[in-house]
Amino acid sequence: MPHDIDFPGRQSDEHVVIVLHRHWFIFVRSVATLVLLGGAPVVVMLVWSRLTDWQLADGSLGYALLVMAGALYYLFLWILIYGYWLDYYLDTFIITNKRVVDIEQAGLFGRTVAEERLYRIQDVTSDTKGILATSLRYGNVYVQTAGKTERFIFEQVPHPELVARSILDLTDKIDDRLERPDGDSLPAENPKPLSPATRSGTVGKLRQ
Amino acid sequence: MIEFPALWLKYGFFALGGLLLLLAFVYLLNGLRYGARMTLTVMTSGLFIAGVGIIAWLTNSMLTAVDWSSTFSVPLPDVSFLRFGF
Repeated sequence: MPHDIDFPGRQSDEHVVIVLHRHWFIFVRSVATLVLLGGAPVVVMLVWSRLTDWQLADGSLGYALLVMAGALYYLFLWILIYGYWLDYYLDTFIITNKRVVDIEQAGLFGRTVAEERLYRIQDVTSDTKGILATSLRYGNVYVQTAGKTERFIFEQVPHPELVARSILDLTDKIDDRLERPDGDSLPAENPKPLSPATRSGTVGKLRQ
Repeated sequence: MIEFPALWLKYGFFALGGLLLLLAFVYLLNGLRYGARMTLTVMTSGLFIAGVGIIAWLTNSMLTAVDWSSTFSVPLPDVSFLRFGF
């Protein structure tokens, strides 16, 4: 599936393999809580007006206060829903043919972009915990790297085991390319020790 | 009994509502800044603006029943220490 997503530092020969967001249920669960909070005052007012003979005259102080408080309350809930949406949608995990990128939107003014080259990945683990996570098939993917960011965590992503498998497949391809004598994309900071024959073959290729 | 102009309430509401609208605007800018190229972000931002508009319109239409040139009075409870000038 082609991805036209853009992200900081994307190279021209880099193509996106997987774009991940958190599982939709995480967003729906947050919004459902806010919808319940939104419905609660209406239910309370309906029940209260049925049980008592409480009524507000149009234009009275109580009426004005109620309308204003309601407007502020629902505006606040609406902003929160939009904030949850932004947090859900702008938190992105991108896996390309060269690296993994973790973009985290933290509140209004916080944004973290962490990335790591695929050849630095040492270990990929996935876990699924809980009844909901198991039945809806979402969980965490832990990417252990040799870089500064030692561990990437892709939280609550759908099909974590498939994601982990895909990352491992991509790293295997990179490893194969690095170990081949005619490998043409050996990074300068390659952490893997290469045999003298492989090293000379690669250098020979690079010098051409 | 405390009496105060109805306009005070209106201005207080505008102040609080204005702060919330400012927050909404910042959220919107933030969303469009990082997700402007994503169709879904543009659509949800449009939906968000529409929601804010509907809330503002509903509030305004419900508050037309209030006479803002009048005064509101709030009866104070008949507590004995108030009579002693405290």
